[in-house]
Amino acid sequence: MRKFGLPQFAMLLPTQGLLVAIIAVPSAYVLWLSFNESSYGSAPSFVGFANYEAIWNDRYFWRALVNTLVVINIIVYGELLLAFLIAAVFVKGVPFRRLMLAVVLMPYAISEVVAVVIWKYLLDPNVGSLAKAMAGLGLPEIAWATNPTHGLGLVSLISIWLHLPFTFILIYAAMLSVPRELYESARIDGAGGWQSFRHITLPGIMPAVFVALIFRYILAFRLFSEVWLLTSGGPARTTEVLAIYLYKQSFTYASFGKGAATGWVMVMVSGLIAAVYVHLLYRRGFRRDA
Amino acid sequence: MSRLDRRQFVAGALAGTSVAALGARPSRAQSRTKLTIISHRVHQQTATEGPAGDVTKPWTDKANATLEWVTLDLNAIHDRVFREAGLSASDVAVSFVLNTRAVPEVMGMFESLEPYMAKAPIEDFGDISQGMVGAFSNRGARLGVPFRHAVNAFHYNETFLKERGLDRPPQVVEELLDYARKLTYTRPDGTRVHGWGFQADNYSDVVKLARASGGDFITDDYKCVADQPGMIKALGLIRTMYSEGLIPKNITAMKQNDLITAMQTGQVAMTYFPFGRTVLFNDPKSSKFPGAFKLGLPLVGREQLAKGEVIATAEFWGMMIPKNSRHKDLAWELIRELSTKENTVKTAINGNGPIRSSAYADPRLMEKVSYAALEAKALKAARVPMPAFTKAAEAKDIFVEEMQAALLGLQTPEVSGRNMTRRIQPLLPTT
Repeated sequence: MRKFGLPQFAMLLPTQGLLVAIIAVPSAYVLWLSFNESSYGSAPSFVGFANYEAIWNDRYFWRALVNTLVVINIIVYGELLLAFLIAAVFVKGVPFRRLMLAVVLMPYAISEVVAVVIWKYLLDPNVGSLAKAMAGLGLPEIAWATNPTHGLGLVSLISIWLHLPFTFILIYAAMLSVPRELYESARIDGAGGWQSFRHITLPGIMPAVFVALIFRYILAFRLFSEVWLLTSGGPARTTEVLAIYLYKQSFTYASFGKGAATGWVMVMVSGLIAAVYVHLLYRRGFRRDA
Repeated sequence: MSRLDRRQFVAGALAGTSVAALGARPSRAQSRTKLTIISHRVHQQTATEGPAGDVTKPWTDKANATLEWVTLDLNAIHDRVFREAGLSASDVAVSFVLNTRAVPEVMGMFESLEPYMAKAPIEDFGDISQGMVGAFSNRGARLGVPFRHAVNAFHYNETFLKERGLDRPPQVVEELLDYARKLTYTRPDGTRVHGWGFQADNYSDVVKLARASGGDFITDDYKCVADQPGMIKALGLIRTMYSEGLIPKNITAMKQNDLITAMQTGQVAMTYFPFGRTVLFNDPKSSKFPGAFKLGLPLVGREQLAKGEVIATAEFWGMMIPKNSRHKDLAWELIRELSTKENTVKTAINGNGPIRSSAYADPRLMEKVSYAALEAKALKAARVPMPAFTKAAEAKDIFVEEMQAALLGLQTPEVSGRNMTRRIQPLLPTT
């Protein structure tokens, strides 16, 4: 085993120092702030758990939490399913593979703001070309501005479209790394397509699936710009998600204590979700390689 | 060609940096004092661009200063202004604050202007609207000088009126529904026109309708009267218009800029906006109907019209000096300069809402700004749509939520009005 001495520690120090400075210290400050009442022009005053109690009793917090959980599950699993299907097609072989890869990866290069604006105008009920085309085909209207289900549905769709490349590339790389010989052996042993998938592909790509799930859950939990730019949480606050709720508490109502408490609740909930998958990843993925 | 190795690269980079450092000479700009101003883009525009030119230039040259305008959106401006003001020291010289955000809790972060006024007063201060000055005062001390007002007008597209055989715009609120019905149609080119549009993410337009119906939202003595017949009528009116398709379907998701675009592209026939927006609606570069947009005073009720009453709402901005500013004296000089009679007229020609009544008597303004006389009349009667108080942002959100619920038919106007009063009254100061 290599020695871990002072030189190695010194080499790690800048990175660790940076992490402490930009993540640990602000996090600790926000935690402290969450136990205080604070606004512009007044010094913070300690209020114990009052901010947590206030958001616990706020029906808009619960609505935002439910919206967030529903939307992120649609996004994460929708993305995973699509990534899986597209990766499977790519593994089988597609014409113009490089071009097709570029096409699939392209949305990841587009800014969220630009993406939302594009979708918003495409589906504008008055002038949107996609909305008009759908109406022309006799398809039902997507009333994203007035119907919360449609609004959150469109948010999910945009988010999946934007982040699919991330999940796809992980799954595709994992599928490519499964040894071909295993499939040949399975075929010789008489295994069908489903059995090959169930007993060879799936176990082979599970670590990548868990990594994708962990990252996407954590990132999706912070969902903000898609909702903010599309509906701003409306109509009548029905499409609010936790990040919007936090933003309003902190920057619209200038209630920094409640905003900080909301931030910590978000950290705890996303941490809990991530912990489940990290545990599964360890048990079924990395441990056997340890 | 040989490739650079690491040592060559580092040596080259160091040599380049040294040459750059040696060659650098303090520029003229560096010797100038930089004053940071936090404001909305419209303040910078009207102070530095337009037919009357940059009104700050003579002063910046004389004071050997440069102005750095940090322009943001409404919420972001105030967040930045108050955060900067909370620091131990700041380069921010002048902060622009909206009247509804100038509440006692934050006033302590800004300089009292009384000593500055005593030392170097603003030219003919009495000419500046004292109602607006009062909004930026606390415990008898003046803390801000008004810079801009935005008084709302009733804007309509005359082309559409003609196409629908209407020879005049609506005169009273009782006519609005009928006009909106007539002006909702599909033009021969396929454009779907909606009779009415309003800012459904704010309270101001609905408050005007409520006042025209004899009601209000929050009175000057902090009573929420949204459950009274005037507001219920206004909510009922927008609900009817929405359910009949007279308002764009996605109105709740339309921002101010979306509504401006909808006007310019002919999707909306009538709306409320500040007077100055008529320039944008009629701009040949961005509007499909340049010259077709006309304006009038906001609609009143039939009885109010008979009495000659004018209903207008106005919001206004003031310039304040943060207590922690490093450039307080220069900031005061700049405020004085921007507030002179001459510069008030010039910024008004650039599209600003002038805060001096004398500006409306200036022949240059009357000649260049066609609506100046009408705006002066509206300004005289204008009231803020909601008085300032600490929880104003929350009250606004509650209003918008309940109003949108009524608009979409999720609940009746009566329920929305009652909910507004029940939820907003506890947020109001007890007088």
